[in-house]
Amino acid sequence: MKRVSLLLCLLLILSLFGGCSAGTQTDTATDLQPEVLNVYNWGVYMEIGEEDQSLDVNAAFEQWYKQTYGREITVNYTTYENNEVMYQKLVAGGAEYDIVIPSDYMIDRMIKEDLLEKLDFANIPNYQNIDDQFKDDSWQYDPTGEYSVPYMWGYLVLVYNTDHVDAAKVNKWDVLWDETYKGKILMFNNPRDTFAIALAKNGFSLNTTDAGEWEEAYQDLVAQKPLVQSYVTDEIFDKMQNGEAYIAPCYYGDFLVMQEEAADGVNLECGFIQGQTTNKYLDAMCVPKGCQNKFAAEAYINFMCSYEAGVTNANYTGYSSPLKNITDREDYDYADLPSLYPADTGHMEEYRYLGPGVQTVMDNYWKNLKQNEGSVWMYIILVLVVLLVVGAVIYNKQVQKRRERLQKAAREKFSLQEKMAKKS
Amino acid sequence: MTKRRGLGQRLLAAPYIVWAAIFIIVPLCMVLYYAFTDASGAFTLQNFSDISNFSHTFVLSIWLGALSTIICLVIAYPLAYIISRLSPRAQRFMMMLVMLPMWINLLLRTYALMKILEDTGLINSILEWMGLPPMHMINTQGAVVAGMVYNFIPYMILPIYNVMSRIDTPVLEASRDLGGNFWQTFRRVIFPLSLPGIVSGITMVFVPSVSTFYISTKLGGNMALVGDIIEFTFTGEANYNVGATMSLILMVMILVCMLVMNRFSDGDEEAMIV
Repeated sequence: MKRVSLLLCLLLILSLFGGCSAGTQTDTATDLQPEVLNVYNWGVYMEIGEEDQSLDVNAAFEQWYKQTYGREITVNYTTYENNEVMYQKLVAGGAEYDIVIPSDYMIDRMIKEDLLEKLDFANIPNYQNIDDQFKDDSWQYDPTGEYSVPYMWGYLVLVYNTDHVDAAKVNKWDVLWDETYKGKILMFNNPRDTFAIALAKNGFSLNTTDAGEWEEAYQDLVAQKPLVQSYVTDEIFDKMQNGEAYIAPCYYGDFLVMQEEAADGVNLECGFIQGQTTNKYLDAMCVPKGCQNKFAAEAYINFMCSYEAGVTNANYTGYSSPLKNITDREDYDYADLPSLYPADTGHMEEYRYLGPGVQTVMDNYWKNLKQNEGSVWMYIILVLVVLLVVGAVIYNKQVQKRRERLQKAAREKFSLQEKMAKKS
Repeated sequence: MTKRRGLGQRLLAAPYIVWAAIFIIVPLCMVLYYAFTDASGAFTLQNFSDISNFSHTFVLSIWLGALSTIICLVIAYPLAYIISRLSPRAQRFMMMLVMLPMWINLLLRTYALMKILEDTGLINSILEWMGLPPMHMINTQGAVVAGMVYNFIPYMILPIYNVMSRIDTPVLEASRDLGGNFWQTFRRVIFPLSLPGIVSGITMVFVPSVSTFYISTKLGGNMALVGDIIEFTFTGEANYNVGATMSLILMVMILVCMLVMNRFSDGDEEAMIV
């Protein structure tokens, strides 16, 4: 043991002295350095041992990697709040990531913009655990299936307060336009989801490129705005659970969390969309270009496709898992919830990358939607304030001038007196 | 006016100058660059016409910013005066109370305020308990102004308190001895002496109020202020050019307001924020 550490010290010293040492020696030295894997994921989207006794999936991977390949690895885990933030960070450079977990339409875009590496599926044997419905062409975001491995999926539903909302209405998006619930409706604070709902309400495709259809959706949202309590992201949990709002669109997995954590006396139920389109989404693991350790990245993807990690994460998030026959597993908490794995997904449509043109149209509509007209009084008072301030400035100057004049006069008087005194 | 500074003094200023160059001057230049170019980097003025339809949002932001600044001033001025006349011990304690909320992150404070103002929130629960009719407060302009006042009022109290505490009590006594009543003492002595503090207080509240973005989203419901739109152009749209143009216009507007304000302070260094 002692000799080994002595040798280590020697090697370290040798490597410190730089390139003069022989190649084989430095190789051994770097092998002893732990590898690093930079994982960039959505917030609250993986069990990382936040609660007591829960398994830390990343730590489990580190352990598994060491057992399997005999090398130390450290997972450097960071999170983002939405696809756009993740995309910009990747494009702007400066930060390097080995694993990202974007949504379908963002993967679509990243493939088109050549930002992703093709995966070597020989390193991902657990890919066989992924259900076949994710390998055929029912999902379009990764048509050749070479760039991504599914992580979680889900679809959009309505969550409502059973004491205040008529359950019979909660199967069409139109309920979000119902005057009865004015001020109690929540909408997403991002353009993609909000516009998708307005498009679906009108029977349009969620990925339409027709300018007229976008315009119609926009007009609908403008009409809806006075009814909307708030455009929210994570506040939806608080507001629904406390009965502050009565109805909102949300992803099914989030509904399960809300229902479970609702305050006493607040009864939340879920309304499934029927006869209209709803959105299905899928987040998948990808390796971005510029990845420093592709082998370890693929090992990580492989580990996440194992039932051990997959079930843990599915229990933690409450979203639908893409793993084959997961409902047969005894350690899976949501095995008795068939709604998580709907048989019929025919009325569900995934988001596609809209392309820069349509994207700009949507973003501009969104910004206009969020604008508020001020009242006439506001303008009148603002003008009055400006006039008042200008008046005060002028008055202030006048006062100053007068003071200076007085001071000058006083000074002259004083010097005159002094002169007189000297003369006498 | 210009004093020649020794080498030592200039060396001491070096770290700040480097810091300012990297984190203030360079970003400002980048804002300027993005504002006058398009996505491909060519010179354009298109961005300015693109944002013309956001004039309502600009006016609304300035309106709410001005409103909360005035409310802050009305609350802070007498408070600062009262604190400055207390015993030194009591002054320290009161100032700690003023600073106390600032130990908590602004985002948390705003989120907490949202929970307090909600229809099912703390205030309405108390009203209900007392048998009073509920009050709708959240998601209104009033809630946004309340959020701004709550978050930024220490920035108003501090500078005013600073100048107030430097007014010697004998000065006020002298004014009274010379026959000045309270109103005259205030108008002739206290107010002119505290003007620099007022001006820097207004600056320090008005600037963050106008450009705020988190407070309006959380407390305003479906309302967006100019800060929200700028945030979306950067993080949602990745349209740096339009975002930079909006920031630039906002900066110029604030600058103009501040230049006007500084007219009041007789060039006192205390108030020379701009």
